[in-house]
Amino acid sequence: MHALNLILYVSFSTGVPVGRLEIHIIHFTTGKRHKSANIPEVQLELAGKYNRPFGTHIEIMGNYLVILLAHGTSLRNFQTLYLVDWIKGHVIHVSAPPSITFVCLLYVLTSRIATTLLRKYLFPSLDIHIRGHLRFRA
Amino acid sequence: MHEKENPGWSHMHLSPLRELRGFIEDPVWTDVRLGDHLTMGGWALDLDQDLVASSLLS
Repeated sequence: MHALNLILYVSFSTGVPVGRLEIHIIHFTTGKRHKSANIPEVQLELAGKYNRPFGTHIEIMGNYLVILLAHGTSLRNFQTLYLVDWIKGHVIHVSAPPSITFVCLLYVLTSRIATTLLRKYLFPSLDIHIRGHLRFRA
Repeated sequence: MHEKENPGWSHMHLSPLRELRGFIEDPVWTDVRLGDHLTMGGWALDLDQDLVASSLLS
């Protein structure tokens, strides 16, 4: 498109808990559904909980959209990344936020105490014996 | 800028090609409205594809 268009203003909201989150694919000049989009309204499944406003950031990369959705509760924040083929109208990939259980388990396993306790079980010292004699210990 | 209600934008055609093609007229703003029942979240613009991708919450 060779025309130089100037966008004046775009309305947006601060976001509230909602029932549906859709990505609309529309023409800039008319606001109508984009003729190249097979599905003009792509539904996004929202993984994770939220009870406060969340924000979205979208980047267009040719035929693909990268959508970052920031949501969460008062206790925890989530960030979910979507890769969408806007011409075919489907979600290609979603980065699911890890569950609370997984995060807690990861925290416990990576703590200093756990690392010390588990090292001898999970990562026993490496002994290399050559012809029955100890040659190297790591 | 609108808040929640009546999401949309306005654009103006400023291309010098229009004058070269004989379209000599005062530029005007063109309003685009998406609907009162929707709340617009994030958005992205690609002029080359005449494309706006917007997250709409309903």
